[in-house]
Amino acid sequence: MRALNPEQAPISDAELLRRIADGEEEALASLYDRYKSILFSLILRILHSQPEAEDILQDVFIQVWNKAADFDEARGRPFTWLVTLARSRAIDRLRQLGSRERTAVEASRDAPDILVDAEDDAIKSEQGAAVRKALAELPEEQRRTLLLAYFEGLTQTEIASKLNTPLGTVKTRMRSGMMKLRELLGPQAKTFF
Amino acid sequence: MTQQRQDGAQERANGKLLMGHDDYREMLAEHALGALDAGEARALDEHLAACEDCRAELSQWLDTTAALAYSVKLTEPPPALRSRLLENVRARGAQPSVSTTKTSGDSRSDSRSETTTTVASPAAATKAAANVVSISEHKRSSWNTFQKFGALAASLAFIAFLITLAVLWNRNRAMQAEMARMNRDLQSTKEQLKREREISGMFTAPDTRVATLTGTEMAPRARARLAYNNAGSAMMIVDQLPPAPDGMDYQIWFIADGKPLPGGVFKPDATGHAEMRDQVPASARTAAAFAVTLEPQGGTSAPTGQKYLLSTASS
Repeated sequence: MRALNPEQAPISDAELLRRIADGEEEALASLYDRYKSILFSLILRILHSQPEAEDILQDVFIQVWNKAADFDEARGRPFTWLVTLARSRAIDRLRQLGSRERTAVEASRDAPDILVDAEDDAIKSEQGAAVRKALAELPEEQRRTLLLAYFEGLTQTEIASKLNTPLGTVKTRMRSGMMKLRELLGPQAKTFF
Repeated sequence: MTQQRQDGAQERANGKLLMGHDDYREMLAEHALGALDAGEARALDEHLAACEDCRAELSQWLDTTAALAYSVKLTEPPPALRSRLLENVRARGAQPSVSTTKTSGDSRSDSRSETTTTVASPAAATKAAANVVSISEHKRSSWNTFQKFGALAASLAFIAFLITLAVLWNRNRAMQAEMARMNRDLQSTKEQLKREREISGMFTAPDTRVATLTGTEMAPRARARLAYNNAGSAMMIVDQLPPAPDGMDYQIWFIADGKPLPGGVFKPDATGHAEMRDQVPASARTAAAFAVTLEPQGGTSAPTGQKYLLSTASS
């Protein structure tokens, strides 16, 4: 078992995943320390329940432990893989929750919870500021469509029905919003990964 | 342009187009958001398995969606969670095993999430020309009778001219409307012809196989024929199917190894007739077993509703 040496340059995420695949618990601990806040916050944002979010975060890292060997750096970034896994697990749990809970959660979600208070102490990351700024530049309807899909796990058909908007319009908004977002975030990719 | 894209998207959603690489490529951003309906996601996954360019582009879209995670307010998980995780992992050892937390073995039936988790391996406004005509007022210091009659005649002539103009304008408008209507008819006829050619082409091509679906007790008179070729391009013609209630769609399922794979959704017209196109998954082509169920609008990833049509092989 190789030892993690903190004296050396920071170990890349991909290297950590390789070591996790080799069964190094310390590597899993390092990856957890690196991304626990962002992943936990994302899961909590989707589920609006601390106990559920804790459960899912643990489940995500167990998945990482089990599946690290399947990760192929040539096909995507480790951060993207982790976030996608965490979001997907959280959305799955959201769907498992009864419709009663889900309705309650949805009701609480209609309140604007994005871009409201950039001075909030907790919003301090450079990345957070950049993404919020990019989202703020999208037209409201595009932003709403993206956020409903991403954080509420709604399909285009469900969004069209919820917003009482034609499906074609939802698709166009979604695609335009994504293209604008990619354009805005593109030059800052290094900030994110 | 935008309208065309919307129309295209709508047609696609209705399963009315044979999908090509560009159609799939347009769906990648939505796929990265997990926003495609189950049947669309499944068809795109099949394309992704065979298209490296699309896999690479999906990877970029996933980077964009992953960045959205940064928009949330940061909250730290409780420190105890770290030790719990490590204990849990220690208990398992290095041996990859199945998660035993509450979500373990959960139904990964939602093809959207399946896809999104397999990032690393996607087996998974005309400016109106405002013609402002200024009519200047002509002041007359004196009017004699002749002038008055002349003015009256001129006025009458002018009124006659205006009436003629109005009549001509109306006639022109009517003709334009008629031309537009004829144009629409022509367009519709062309589309009809194209559709019929496609149908006959599909049903008569040498490599086409045709499956017959018969109605269940839910719709004993319903009939459908599904033609598909070696490439999986499929066309289904349905008759005598009861109307789909509001908020519901009919959805086709491709049965492979006893497992239903979601297909496109459709609504029959008032006569119970429907035509739809889809892509038969490779794994379901040999089995040639198909079913049609009534599902919530947009379709689902696993069948939940009553079966209305079954292929003879699957019944």
